[in-house]
Amino acid sequence: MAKILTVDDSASMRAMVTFTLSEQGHEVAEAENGQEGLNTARQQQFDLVISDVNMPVMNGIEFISTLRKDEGYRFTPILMLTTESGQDLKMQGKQAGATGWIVKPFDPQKLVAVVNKVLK
Amino acid sequence: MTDPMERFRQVFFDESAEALDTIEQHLLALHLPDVDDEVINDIFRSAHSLKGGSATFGMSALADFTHVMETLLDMVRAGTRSMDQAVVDCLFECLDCLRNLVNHYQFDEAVNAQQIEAVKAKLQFLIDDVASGDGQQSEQLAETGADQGKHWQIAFVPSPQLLLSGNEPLRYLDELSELGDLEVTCNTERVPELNDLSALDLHIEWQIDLSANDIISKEDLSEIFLWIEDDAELTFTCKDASSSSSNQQTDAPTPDVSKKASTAPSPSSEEATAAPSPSSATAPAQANKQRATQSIRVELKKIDGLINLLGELVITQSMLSTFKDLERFPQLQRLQEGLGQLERHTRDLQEGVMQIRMLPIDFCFSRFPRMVRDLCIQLGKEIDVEIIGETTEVDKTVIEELTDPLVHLVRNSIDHGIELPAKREENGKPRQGKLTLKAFHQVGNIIIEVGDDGQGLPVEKIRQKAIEKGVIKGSERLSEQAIKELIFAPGFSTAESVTDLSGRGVGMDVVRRNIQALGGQIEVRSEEGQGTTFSIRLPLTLAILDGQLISVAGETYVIPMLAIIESIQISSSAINRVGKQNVSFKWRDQFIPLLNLAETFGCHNSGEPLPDTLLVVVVESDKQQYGLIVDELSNHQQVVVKSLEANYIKVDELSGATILGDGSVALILDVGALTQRLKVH
Repeated sequence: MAKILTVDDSASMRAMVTFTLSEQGHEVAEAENGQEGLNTARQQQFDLVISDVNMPVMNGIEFISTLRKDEGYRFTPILMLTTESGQDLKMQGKQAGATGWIVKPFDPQKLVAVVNKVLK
Repeated sequence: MTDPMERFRQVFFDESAEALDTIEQHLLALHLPDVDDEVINDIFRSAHSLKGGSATFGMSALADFTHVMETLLDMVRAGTRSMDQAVVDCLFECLDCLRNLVNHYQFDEAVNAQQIEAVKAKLQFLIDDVASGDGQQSEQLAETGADQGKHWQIAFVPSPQLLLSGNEPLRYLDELSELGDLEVTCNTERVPELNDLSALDLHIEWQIDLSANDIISKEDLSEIFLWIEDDAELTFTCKDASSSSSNQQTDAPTPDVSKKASTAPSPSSEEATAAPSPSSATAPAQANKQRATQSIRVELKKIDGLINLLGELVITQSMLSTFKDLERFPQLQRLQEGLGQLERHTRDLQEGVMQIRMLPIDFCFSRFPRMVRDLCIQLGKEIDVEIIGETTEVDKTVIEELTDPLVHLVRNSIDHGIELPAKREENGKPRQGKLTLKAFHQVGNIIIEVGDDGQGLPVEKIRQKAIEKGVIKGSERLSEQAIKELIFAPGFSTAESVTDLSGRGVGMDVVRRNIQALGGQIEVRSEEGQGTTFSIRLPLTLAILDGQLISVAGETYVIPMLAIIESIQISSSAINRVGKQNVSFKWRDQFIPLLNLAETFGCHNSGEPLPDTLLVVVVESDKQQYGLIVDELSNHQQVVVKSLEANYIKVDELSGATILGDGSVALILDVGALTQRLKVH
């Protein structure tokens, strides 16, 4: 099963993502913000990264664009988690190198469906 | 299985409380018109997380509300609306609504729908104020045409950089195949010569004929390609409408080729997956540093259980230390050594565990800036709140019990202490009053001070009032300090009119009683015209107490070390008597009252002759010193306080009980309450 990194400043969101994906048999690591996410992602290779956009210290856009430049993450799917359905933010995310996005609110089933799709 | 979402809801509630505090603190710290972008971002982020969480956990009312709030904040963030007083005031009102809504979902508190609607309308007004008539959502103009059918021809021409966004074109073909049968044609015309070929670029195009199982719409197809609609040229043609199939490019007709061609970039992606990132070696140290400040949430019950258990351990340990008859059992020597170590470790463990219960006093102080702000608006005063030592740690129970008395003190300071701006200027003081909240440690105690630079306590007025209320007699002569302390007397309130804030019958005597119940003391320092400071002294923790064991008539009692000034031997001839009562003795050049504990507890008949020399423990409470006659002084040790009230009944003059090393129970004396006896004398 896949190794997944979830980056979100909200503990409840992280807990939900971790729980849902762990139940699917994935190995999930958590990080609280972009900076922590980078540190974690550079210690071990993940197959999928799911990142919130609005975070303190380092936001999701900066995190994604930095991580995407890393050798090991050039082709890794990186998804943005966002409540904003605004086109602007998605474009920013895409430009930073995000693979796609999941719009909050989402339920566990939807998360699983998207993750399965990306990991296939 | 219980619903896992329920657990995350709990975490969400904790988080929302933090988010609300963050917003509040930022709002309070704002000094318009200078607004730091980072502050706005932080407020926005907090509101934003609330919205995301509440929507995820199905709290729609909260999600709706935060959505409107977020819209306004987003405009402020983007600079299309300025952060002015109207916005700040509105955000404060939002906070009240949010608290109400969170409580609604967490504790079933009734929703204050009227207020929420009103604030929502206010938010909407602030939003419309600026946004009137600009609609930027026009980007998604989908071409309309024959948009439904079963047979579709799809041209999929990805941009060369598609792979670099982590997107895998085959994934999309896979997803399409779930809709029905596919016939895929791969066009490799654009693939350059091997020498010019870059491994990272994608030069393959696809023509896909889809025969769907059901009727599907163009939107369904767009949905599949949603993530890459800007990274690829996509044309969807419905062949149901114009049934003649269009010309197909047949350069590489077999799906096999498409498979092979499209998997070409994949190995590199897998390689990347397997290879650890080269920079990983430098990362751990940094990660560890961040981890150091991480925390976990633990139910209070668990910690209290641990503390209780530790109390038992302390008791057991002191029980073991009674085995010290080395002459009869020389092998006990080694046991003794082990016990010495155990004692040190127990003490460390004890400190560590007590530390868990400690919270920064900020948990209590942080509410005051907002309260002061609201009261200032109500009273037309201008007050600056200064908080010092907010990181000082205090036992959680103490914080909880302390909050009410502090609220009372702060209200008093604002209501009676600090003058109106005009009056302050008249007296040559700065227009803005200052309220100081301060916390610090001092030898095993924590001191909390509430100070203001207001008018101070009016000594003469207090004296008059005290006489009027019958607290003191007109003839009584008291020092200035004693008069000031009359404000703590029951039934005393100088407020000329009962205002909304103070003077509601809950007087300073209640404050003092609350503090004393925590084993603490309160003092007042005041200078007329200069200000008033209330100083509260509290023990660091309530669960364990440093005690002096004494025995009286064969029973062991504990006197809190904090109350003891010294223990001395006096000769019985040094005692002044009135009749048969032992009343006082001379101690450090002053006469202080004397209490025979044996008499107090009814063990002796009063007047029974005393031995020639007596052991007296001099104690202090409320600045009043007095002596306690005891039979014997024994160990000085830490004792675990057990509540008498919870296990038996409340007994005045005893603040609790403890279990000693030999398993017997010793009662802990309440030195403050014993002073009442002196007054009876």
